[in-house]
Amino acid sequence: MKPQESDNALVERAQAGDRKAFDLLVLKYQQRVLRLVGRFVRDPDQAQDLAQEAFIKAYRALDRFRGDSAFYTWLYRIAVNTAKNKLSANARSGYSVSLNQSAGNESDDPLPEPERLRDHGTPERLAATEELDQSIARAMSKLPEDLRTALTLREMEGLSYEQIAEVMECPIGTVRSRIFRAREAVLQAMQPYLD
Amino acid sequence: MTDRNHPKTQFDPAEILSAWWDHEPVSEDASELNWLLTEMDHSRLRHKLRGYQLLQAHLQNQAAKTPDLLSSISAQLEQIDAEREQQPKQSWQLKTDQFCNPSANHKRFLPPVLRATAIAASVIIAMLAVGLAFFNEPQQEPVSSSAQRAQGPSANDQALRATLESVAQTPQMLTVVDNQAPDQVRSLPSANRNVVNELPSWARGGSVEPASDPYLTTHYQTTAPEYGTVPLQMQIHFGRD
Repeated sequence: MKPQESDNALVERAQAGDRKAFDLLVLKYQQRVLRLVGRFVRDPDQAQDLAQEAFIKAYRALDRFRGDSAFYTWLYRIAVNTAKNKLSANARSGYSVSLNQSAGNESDDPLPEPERLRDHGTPERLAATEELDQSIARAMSKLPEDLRTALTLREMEGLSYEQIAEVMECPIGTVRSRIFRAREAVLQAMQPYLD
Repeated sequence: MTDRNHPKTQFDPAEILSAWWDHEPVSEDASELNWLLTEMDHSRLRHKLRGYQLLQAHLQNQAAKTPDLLSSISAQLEQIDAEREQQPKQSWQLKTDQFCNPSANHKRFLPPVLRATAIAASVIIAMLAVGLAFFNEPQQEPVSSSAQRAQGPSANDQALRATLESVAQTPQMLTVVDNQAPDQVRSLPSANRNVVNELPSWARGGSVEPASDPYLTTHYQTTAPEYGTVPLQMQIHFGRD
């Protein structure tokens, strides 16, 4: 099954009224959508509002999604249109806006200015984020080498399971299992910060 | 909480979720995914995916804000669901109130035999009504026309008839009518201009005191009752022509 087909299967369930399926799609794509709209607006709070609005619009229009394209492509268009509409509204109301010229490119490359969406929260929150980062780093360092390599190749290098299998000279099933076990171990260490 | 593995593939639900997160579904169909959604608790799903998200942000060196949008939009999504549940009821009410006979919905729920009987009875009644209407038609006459006949021609009709007869019997006019071909009607010979003098007094009235033509008055009262009487300007115009 292609990745987009698995998403479409979730969309079908969501269309039938399964909120859980749509929640999964929100959880999967929220960061991508947030990064996407972050190219249009500098204010992190406004970017968050736009991302939320895009998901709500998508949910309202879910019945009109026919599966001709991948779900994310469809969601991408909604998010871009939402951001552009917001920019137009801001321009009309005289609100100062800045549009990154790279916005509109569907590639999901890391932002040229990742600090845009940097957390400007309270000192307590920043401290908690710092602790979380440290716990993840500790958990990663404790992972067996094959698990850490598989997870790193996936998350940092963006390789597919097939490519990782070639690099590590093992079956795809093993790659899947290693990545899963690595995640489970790190999640165990993150547990206090997730609750 | 211990999860059951997928009955066919023996995958752990969390492994299926992990692979799905990476866009690398474990099998050719969506059965595992459907099974996962049924099997795994919603809060646990969210918890795990939130963990994946934070881990990804850390590994990709994005010291970025990673808000959980789902928490923020959940209330709104629930509200949308509630609206959708109410929507069918509202659309039904809209149809009933605005476009349909209120009893139409009751009729729809009648048994087929009763519906057929009701339709047949309606057809028979309609045919009887048409037959009765035809039967009574020769005996009934419009009240207005019979009353008009009893009263005889109205004063306006009499005046109009007298005017037309007097104009038609004028020898000069007869000459003009006889001598003119249809294409010459617009170019009357100057010698025949005195025919105008034979027109009745109301047609020869001046612009200051326009003659009141009973025919015109009646005509305008009939065709434009909102005006009530013939406007003065119209009387002048018609008087000149």
